[in-house]
Amino acid sequence: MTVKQPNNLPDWLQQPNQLTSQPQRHNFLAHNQQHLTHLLARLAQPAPAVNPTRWQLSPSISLIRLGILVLLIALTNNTIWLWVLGLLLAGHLLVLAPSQLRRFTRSWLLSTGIALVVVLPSYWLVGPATVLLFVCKTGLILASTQYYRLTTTFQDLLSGLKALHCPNLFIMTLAVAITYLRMLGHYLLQTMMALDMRLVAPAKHPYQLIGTLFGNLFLKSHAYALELYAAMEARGFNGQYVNQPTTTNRWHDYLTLTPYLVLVVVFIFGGIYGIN
Amino acid sequence: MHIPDNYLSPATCGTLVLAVAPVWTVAVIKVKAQIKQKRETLPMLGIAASLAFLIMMFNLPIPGGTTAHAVGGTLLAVLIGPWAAVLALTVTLLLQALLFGDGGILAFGANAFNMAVIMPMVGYACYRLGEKLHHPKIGLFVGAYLGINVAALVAGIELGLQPLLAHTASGAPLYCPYGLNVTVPAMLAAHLLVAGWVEAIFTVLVYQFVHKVAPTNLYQAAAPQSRRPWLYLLGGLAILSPLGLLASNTAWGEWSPAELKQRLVAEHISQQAPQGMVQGLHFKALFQDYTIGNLPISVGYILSAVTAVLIFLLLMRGLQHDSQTTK
Repeated sequence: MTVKQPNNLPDWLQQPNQLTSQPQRHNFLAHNQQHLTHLLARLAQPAPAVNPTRWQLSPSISLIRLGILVLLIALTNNTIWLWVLGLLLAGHLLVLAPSQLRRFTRSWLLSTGIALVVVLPSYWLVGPATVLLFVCKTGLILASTQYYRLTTTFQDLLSGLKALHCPNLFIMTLAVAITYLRMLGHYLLQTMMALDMRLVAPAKHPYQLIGTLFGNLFLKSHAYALELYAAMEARGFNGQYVNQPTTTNRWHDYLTLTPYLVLVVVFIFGGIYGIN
Repeated sequence: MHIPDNYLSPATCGTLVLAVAPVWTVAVIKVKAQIKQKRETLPMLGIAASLAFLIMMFNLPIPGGTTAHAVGGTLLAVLIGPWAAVLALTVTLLLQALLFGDGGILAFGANAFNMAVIMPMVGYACYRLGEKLHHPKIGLFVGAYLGINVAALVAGIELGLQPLLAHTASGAPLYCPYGLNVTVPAMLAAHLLVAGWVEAIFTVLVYQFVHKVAPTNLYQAAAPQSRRPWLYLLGGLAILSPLGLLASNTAWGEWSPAELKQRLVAEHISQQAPQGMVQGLHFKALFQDYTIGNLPISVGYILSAVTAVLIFLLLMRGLQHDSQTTK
């Protein structure tokens, strides 16, 4: 009697069966996951660059300062003026920590490079002088907005808007948006990861998957809205946006704003004396 | 479609902020009324703004191996209402400009005008029309496609006008250096061929899902209000129509060939009217220049206005569905 070896597996089970990876099929899901992870990391904003205990500016003043600077850069077509405004900005950049300065430089160069690529073909239409002026102005505007982003927390932005009498509905919407951007972002990321893991059969069309994904996200956001409103009511919400008042030295504010106001005055009246 | 700073002149940016300001005001009033009926609309605005942000950063695959992203203007208008969508998208654009550097700070008004006002409003109008004709999905598809393309066209016009509006004495442009002949085709080609289709398909698929799973979560438009104020307004305007006669001169560009010849001679430009105009088609209308028989011209104006209003009202009435079925 021949003894069968019970440990022998059938042939089809001995064949190595490698799972076919289909990088093309869900490439967009992986790509978006990467994108979203990057965004969520960016939303965890770093602390303000300038030590607030030494020289704390009120949020509304820093917002006004940004507005004046961007407006002056956009209005002027004089290279000397641009140079003066650049010096002012460079003075502000000096207070950044070296690591933050490196971060600033990296992102500023990247965004200015993108602007340059867009405007470069106009070299053949309008000549080098226009392109150069355009790049200088765009670079300065980008630098001032990036400096603002680097030195201002989201809470400060809201306080600044509140101090400048922005409507409550608008500020509240902004506050809810930034809070729930992270929550919805996390939810979307988790859903995408779950889909990526569970999806064994190809979907009929990737767009159907996307429709379901964002349809679900909307329903989730509706549920969040209901919960949030219940919590707001429970805390005695009265329709007003309340935030912590910032205690700042008014003299510091005025002192910081003075060079900008002087520049505005010189810009307006300088034309008479041929300065502008 | 996010216009960065320095591409539009500060004057254009200021004008567009002024153009959007009344829309924001009406939106706030309308949304406050919406909040009274449905209280969760208040937090929903903020959450919808973050949803719009996520939609804009989600890349969708398109044929050819590349990607594009939707804006979601029409979708938001259908999900949370057009006025709430205006506010939510405005907040999204502000967030993108201030925190992520996407779109300019000075150009915020222009971006809001294009993406937070034109896109949801055009899209929602098409959707409502489709709904009235019992084809909401077709209306939504057309609305989403048209909405993004109209917004792109307006953005192209805003950019392309800059060399005409702001330039040096030598003619060198101070802001966007490309003229209308470059900006409009560039903006429209990308949106007509790719982004428009992506937006339309994305919008319909998400709408379809929400409609199937939770139809009550879709925005329900309030019952139409009384039309009496509109009728009073139209009647008042018809009565006031002869006011235009106070200006005796012909409007610019509406001259007859004889008048044009006079002007050209007076300005030493030419001794003759352009041949194309003299020999072109000269259609004789039934009530030429609003004159009806031997009646005074002011009466002719009023009768013409009443005739036009009645024709349009009859057309609208004919397109409407009966509210009650006849037995």
